Amino acid sequence: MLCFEEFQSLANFLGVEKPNVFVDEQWKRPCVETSAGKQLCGLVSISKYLTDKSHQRSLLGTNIEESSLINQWLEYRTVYINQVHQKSDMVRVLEDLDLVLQKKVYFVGNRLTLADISIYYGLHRIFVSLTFQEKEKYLHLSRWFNQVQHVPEVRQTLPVVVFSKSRLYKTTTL
Amino acid sequence: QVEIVKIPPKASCSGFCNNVSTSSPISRPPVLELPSSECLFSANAICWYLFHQRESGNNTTFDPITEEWLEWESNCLQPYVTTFIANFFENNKLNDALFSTLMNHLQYLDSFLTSTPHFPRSSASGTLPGIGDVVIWSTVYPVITDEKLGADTVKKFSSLCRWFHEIGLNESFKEAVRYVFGEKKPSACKETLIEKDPLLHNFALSTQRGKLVPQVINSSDVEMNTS
Repeated sequence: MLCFEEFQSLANFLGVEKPNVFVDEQWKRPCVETSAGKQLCGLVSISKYLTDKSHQRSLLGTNIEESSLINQWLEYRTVYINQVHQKSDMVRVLEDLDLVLQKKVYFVGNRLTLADISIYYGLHRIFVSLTFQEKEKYLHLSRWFNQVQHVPEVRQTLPVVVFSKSRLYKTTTL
Repeated sequence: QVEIVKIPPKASCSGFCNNVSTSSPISRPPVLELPSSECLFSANAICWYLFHQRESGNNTTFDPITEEWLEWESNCLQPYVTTFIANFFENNKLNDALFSTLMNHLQYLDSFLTSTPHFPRSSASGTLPGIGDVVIWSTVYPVITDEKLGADTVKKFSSLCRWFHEIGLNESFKEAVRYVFGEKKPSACKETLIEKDPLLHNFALSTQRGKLVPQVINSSDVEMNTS
C-alpha cells in the first residue's frame, strides 16, 4: 500500500477532505499543505494532523499518557515496521508485537486508536505474505489484526487476510 | 518527579513485557514506567510525555512543526547518527559515504536554525528549551562534541553550533551529560553505541545506499527478501 493510498483511506475513515500528497525529494517523505497554508511532512505527522482536524480526535488519546503511548506506536510503525525487508526483521517485529498484545486487546487502552490503524496499514503487506502456520504462531497479533480488519471503515479497499478459525497445527514452533 | 533506576547491561526491564531481551526496541532502555504501569520505550515519546505533563495538564494540542521535527529526528537523523558514530568509533576513521550523508543532515538543521534561534517552544516553556531542542540536541551531542569531528567539519555550521552551545549552557543539560557520561567522553561509550539495533542499522545502511525509499513507499513494490 502506498502511503498516498493510506492517507486516502485514513481521510475517508475520518470523514475529512482527502489531502493532496506530494513528496519531499530530500528526505523522501510524504508532505501535504495544511489549512494554515504551511507544508507538513512525514507519515506520522500527517496522520496525526488529519485526525486532529476530524471529529475523531479521541483516536489521538484522551489524556497525556494515552497520547504518548500512541505516539510511540506511531513511531514504531515508521522506524521498525516500515523497515522490514528481510525475514529476520519480520520475525523480530512480529514477535515483539505478539508479546505486547498477549495481555491487551488493542495497543493503547481498550479501544481502537490511531496506533492500531497505522500499525494495521503498516503490517498488511507482511500479513498477506504469512502462511497459516506463521499466522498461528503469532496468535495474539493475528487475533488483533483480524479484529481491526473487520472494521470496514478502516480496511476499505485492502484485501482481507484470511485466518483459520480453528487451530491447524499441533505445535506452533517453526 | 522521575525516579531513575539504572539497570545492569543486558538485563531486561523488569515488569515490562516479560523476558523480552534488551536487543528488542520495545524493552531497550531508556524505558519510562507510567503511573498506569504501562511503559514508554521510545525516548521521543518519553520526552513528549514529560513536556506535556509539565505544560498542559491533560490538554494536548497538536503542534505540527514540533511533530514534524520529532518524526524527522526518529526517522532520518537518529538512524544515521547511530550508524555513523558506531562506525567512526569502531574504526577510528571516517567512512566517506556515511560522513557526507551526515553532513546533509547537519546542513538541514543549520539552515533551519539560521532563520530561527531554536526549535519551536510552547508559550509555557518560555525561555526554557522545548521538546525539539531536547530531542535533537541529545542526538547530535556525540557528533558535535567529538574532538576529531568537531574541530573542522562541524564548525562550518555556525547556526547549529551557536544553538548547540546555547542549549548546552542550561544547567539541566549539563547535569544530564554528567549523568550519562560522567567524566568520560562520548567515544568512551563505544560499546553502548555499537550495540545498536540491527533493524535500525540495516535501515540506515540501505537507505544510504539508495535502495529504500523510507516513507513514500510502504512497500508493496519493495520485495521482501525471504532468504
